[in-house]
Formats: sequence, C-alpha cells, structure tokens
Amino acid sequence: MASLWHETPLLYSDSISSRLGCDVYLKLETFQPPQSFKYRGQSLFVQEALSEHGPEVHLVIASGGNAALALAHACCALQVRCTVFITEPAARKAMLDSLSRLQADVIVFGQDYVEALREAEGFAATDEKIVMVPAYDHPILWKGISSMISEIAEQLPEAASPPDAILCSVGGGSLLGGTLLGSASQGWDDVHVVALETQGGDSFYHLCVTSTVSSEHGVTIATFSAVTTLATSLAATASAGSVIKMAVDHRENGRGGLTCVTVPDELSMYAALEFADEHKLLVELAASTTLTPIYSPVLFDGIFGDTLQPVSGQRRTLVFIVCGGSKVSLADMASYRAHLEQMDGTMGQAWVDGFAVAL
Amino acid sequence: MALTNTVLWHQTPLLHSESITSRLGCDVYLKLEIFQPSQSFKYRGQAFFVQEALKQHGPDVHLVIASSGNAALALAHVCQTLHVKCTVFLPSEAAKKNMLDTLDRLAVNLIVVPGEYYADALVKAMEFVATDKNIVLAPTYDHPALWKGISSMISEVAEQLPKATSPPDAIVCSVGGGSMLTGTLLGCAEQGWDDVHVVALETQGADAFYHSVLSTESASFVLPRGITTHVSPEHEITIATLPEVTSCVTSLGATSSAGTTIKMAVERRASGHGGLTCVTIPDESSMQTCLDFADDTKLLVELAASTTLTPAYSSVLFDSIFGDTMKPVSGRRRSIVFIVCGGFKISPTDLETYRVHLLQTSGVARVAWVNGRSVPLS
Repeated sequence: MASLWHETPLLYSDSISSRLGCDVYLKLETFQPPQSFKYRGQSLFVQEALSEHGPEVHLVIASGGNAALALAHACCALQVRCTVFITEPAARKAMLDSLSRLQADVIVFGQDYVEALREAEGFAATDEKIVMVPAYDHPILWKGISSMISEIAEQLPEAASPPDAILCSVGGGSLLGGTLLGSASQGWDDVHVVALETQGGDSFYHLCVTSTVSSEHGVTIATFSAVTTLATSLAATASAGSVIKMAVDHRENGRGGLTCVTVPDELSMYAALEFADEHKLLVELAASTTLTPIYSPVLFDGIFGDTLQPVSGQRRTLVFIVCGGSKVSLADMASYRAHLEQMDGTMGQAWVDGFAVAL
Repeated sequence: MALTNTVLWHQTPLLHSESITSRLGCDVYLKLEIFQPSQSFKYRGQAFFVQEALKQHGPDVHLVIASSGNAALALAHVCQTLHVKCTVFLPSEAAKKNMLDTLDRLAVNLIVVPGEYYADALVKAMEFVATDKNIVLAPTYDHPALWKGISSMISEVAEQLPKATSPPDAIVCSVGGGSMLTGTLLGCAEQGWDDVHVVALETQGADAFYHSVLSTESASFVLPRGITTHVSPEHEITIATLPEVTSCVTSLGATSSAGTTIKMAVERRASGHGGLTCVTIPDESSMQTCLDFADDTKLLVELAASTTLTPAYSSVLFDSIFGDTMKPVSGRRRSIVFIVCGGFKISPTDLETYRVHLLQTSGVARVAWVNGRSVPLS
C-alpha cells in the first residue's frame, strides 16, 4: 500500500537564518491533510491494522484532538470504521465539524485524556473487531513519523546534510521517538537533538534530566497528577517509556547528544505571535514551543552556546520540526497577545538540562 | 555568471485543500506562492528580469525600482542572491519597520520618497535612472520578462497536478497591474490549456482591469463616474483609468492595468473555449475570506490573495461565477486551482483590524460584479 502522508515543505527561512547566523530550515507538518505530523503515524497504523484484521476492523482512539483528526482522515481515506473519544475541552465546533465530515463516530467524554482513554478502552473491550489505536505510544506510530526525517534528508541541500541540530517538541513523545528513529536510520549520530516542552507539562524533561535506572524500561517514568500547561497538545501526564529510553540512550551514548528544555507557556505564546508575523503561519503552542529558541537569544545561547558558530566558513544547519496542529485560530492569537500584555515582570525562566536560564 | 542560467525561484507547494474541496464538491488546489523567498509570486518575475538584465548589461548593472511593497522585496531578494546592486524608491507611507528592516538585511540602497503615492516614487526613480546608462529601471508589472517568469507557476501546476486532474477545469487569480494574470494566461497557452476557465478578481475601488475589459467589449458599457478611458491603438483595446485607488487592498492598487493583460483577456473571452470571467468584490468580502482562510488553513495571506479565494468561501459568488459547471461529469470530479499570490504585508494584528471593521460595518448591503451583472452578497 502506498503511504498516505504527504511530503511536506522544508522551508529555508531567509530572515531567521540571517538573524541566527546559521542556516535554518522549517519542516512544515501543518501541510499534512489533518494539519499535523500525527498523520504519518496514524495512517501507517491504519494500514497495518487493515492488513492484520481485514476491512471489517473498527478503530478507536481517545484523543484531545490532533491524533483523532489524523486517525479519522486515514480511516476515511481507507474506508475503515472509526470511533473517536474526544475530551470535552477539545470538543470545539471546528474539530467536531471536521470529524463529522470525515465520517468518524464521535463520543465526547471526560475532562482530560486519561478519562477519555479509560472510556475508549472499555468500549474497545466489547468486541474483538474493535482495535484501540494509540495516540503516541507505539512503534508503528514512531516508524510512520520517522518518514519525516527521510524526507528532510532528501530535501536538504547536500552541503547542509546532515543538519547540525534538529529541534522538536515533546508531548507523549511520538514526534521525538520518530525523530530519533529516523536519525538513526540515516546514520545521523552526530546530530544534536533538542527536545522542548512547556512547564506544567514537562514530565519528559523531569525524567530525562533526573533519570534513574529501574522498572520495565530501565528508567523511571515521571508522572504528573495534572497537566497545567496551556499547550494542551503536549499535555501527556507521562511520555512513552520507550521514547524516554531512546532519549536517555541518545543523551548518554549518542555523539550529537540530546538536550532537554522546558519553557514557560508565555514564551511559547510569544514565539507563536512572532512566527505568525514572520512566516504567515498560525501554529499551535505545541509547535511554537519548538520555535522558542528562535525568538529568545538567551535561550538559544543557553542551548547551543558556541556550537553553531560557522566552521571554516561553513555555516551550521538547524532543522525545526513545526509539528502543526489544527487547534489554533486567530482568536487564540488575540488571546495570547492579551495574556502577554497583562503580564507584569519577566517571563520567568527556562530550564536547559538542569540549568535555569533567566528570560 | 552561472546563476544567470539557473532557476532562482522555488517550486511552491500545490496544496490539495480537503476542507474547501469537501465544501465545494470539486477538487480544490492552492498554489502557495507565499513560499517564494520574498513571500510572493513576484519573485518569479523579478528573478527572470534581473537574469536577463545581467545577460544584457553585465555584472555592473544597477537595478532600480519604485514600489511600496512586494515587487521591491522581490527585486531586493533576487539582487542579493545574484550580487547585483539595487536601489529601491519607497513611498514614505510604505516605510514601515518590517519593510525597512528587511530591505536593510538585503543590503539594498533605500531612498524614501515623501508622499503616499507610487507615482511620486516612480518619478524620482526615473530621474535617477536617467543619470547613468548602467542604471536600469525594473518594472513592477508591465513587462514581458516579468510575465515569462510568472508563467513558470503554470508549468509547475501542470507537473504537480495528479494526471487525472490535469488540465484543471478552472484557474482563479487576482488582478492588480495584471502581471499575475498575464503570466497565468501565457502559461496556459504554453500548456495548450485553452479550455481552462480563468477567473480574474479585483476589489471595487481597484478595478481598472474589469472596466477596461467591459469597455473594450461594449462601447455602450456604462462606466462609474470618475473613470476615464482611452483607446490604445497598439493593443486595439480601451484602457480604463481610475482617478485614484479607493480599495484598501493596496497590493492590487493600480489605477490602470497593462494593455497586454487587457488584450489577452479580451481575446480569451472571445475565443469560445474556456473563457475568462471578470469579477469585482467589495474589500469587506476579501477581509472576511482572509479571516475564514486563516482559521481554515492556518495561513495568513494579504487581501490581494484572499480576494482570489473569496469564491471558495462565498457560495453565492461561487454559483454566480461557475453556475453548474463545477458539478461532477460522468462521475469525474471537477478541479479548480486558486493561485494564492502571497505577500508579506499581513500579520495577525491586521486580521484583528479586519474583524473589527467587519463588525462595525455588518449592516451594509454588499454587491459583487460578475461580467457586468451585479450579484447581491449576503
């Protein structure tokens, strides 16, 4: 079966490159049909499920939004029955209209992902033809998502490949998982991976930076009782165990290394507004979190130090994975602006591998 | 210099829009010119012009433009890439921080001309050009080299469309000076796309092209007060000139369109094949589309581009342009390509301004004009 996902643009940003002094490329996953990178993972999962269970398979997911949309798109394209358990906060009109247009059955349940997930699992248990689809924690998802890295490898000019660094955000960890798998397939061991989260949803950061060896994966999973970040698309109370293991391995053994960063919601909002002005694209906070080093020189230096200075006249290359997301609108931009205007004092601090960076 | 022979412009994405497709019942593709280095389709035309200028005058050529926006930016980008000296004459009204910072970054020699009108900047630019034979004026819309560069967009569309969808049933674009439309028509001619229905939109108050075409076709066409016409013997057409541009869509703000553009449009309309439909819409319709498109696709586009997209967001306007011609035929779906021209002069605060304006003017009755017929818009 041919892949369903689209090759997305890898945009060279002239203006950002000139400001940062290195060559900056933006991988624009907003241009997947459901507007996020999740389509890569979900569409592959659906194809595998079809092969394994046949055309009568009924796929079910619990999701706060983008994973549901991605699954619904893939199921609609492949004519597979799909039921989505979506949380109440995520059940905005635009989302419900899209899901309905894609012929997904929608059940609105619960205030957060965990509640919706429990209900979805209960439903899936009622019939053996019903298969639970993971939102982020599955090797098939990471495999599909890793296709993004193969595309980048093809799209980068020869002189810029491999890139010196790849930046992405972390929610459940599927994007990072896919990025690490993809980098490994390309033999990109020297690429510096930077994984960003927002504070109030940074279980991954806490785990990675203070990792201890125990339990099933060999690392401790940090779990939050509640997620307080406004970047709801990054709001997993615990990231996928295998992804955390891959990340810790990369930090400890990979030559390029992996840097863990958390930023306040406000910096992510600021980045979203600046990016919209600069590149005319609205992105969810999950994506603008990735872009925060572009719009905060002190954060950029805190992450990279001098490592991105040109070497023998050769400029360094950065790739930012702009994960996309459908849950952003002009009204959100206005509310970010209002929120920032009401702030008194500074944005607080970011954390980079255990060190505070005053913003 | 090797760069004179390489293609500078970027192949831009042709995005199949699922949401617009499902609403309209035909396959809708968006040609996203926002992805050119200077964020608009003008990059194509200016790149081709500069490369030709280099071949003709050599590496010491000095290029000059009078422009308040996207054309200046396009030229500046191209000149920086090709290491060609560039001077921009900018009307002071257009000398905003964003523009100034970008021109500064592109190492352009900038001269800000007092006054808000492009015409004032053009006078100064032409005086400067006359001082040295190495100084060449770059056109903003009325030149074959621009049109040839812009026609590359259509070759790309031809390659990018799925085989079953090519040629498209319609191509929709906006008209300011007319370089986009001329490039589109030239490109269609090259592809042999005679049966493609071309739709050319302007905003009311910047609708010189519309009035030129209709006056050329009918001597009895009644022009709004203030619009004057003259006959162009070279092109055998009537050219309408607006006394001033009253539309707020400054990127489409030409008081008259290029003669070649009008002539090509008139000929296509008379040819009996795919034809060409001329449409004008109120600024407010373009603003509403701009807001709807941003929420729908997450892309911010200037009003010049949302003008093009308005039929996709107004079923009344869509029906008045296409009638039943976009309904499936023998099970085969129709397809439309919207050229999203791009433009750097747009930000979330602009869209907020449009939203407020629309709220304040919500009671006003609005009308579009399609080939001489008025179409009430809800």
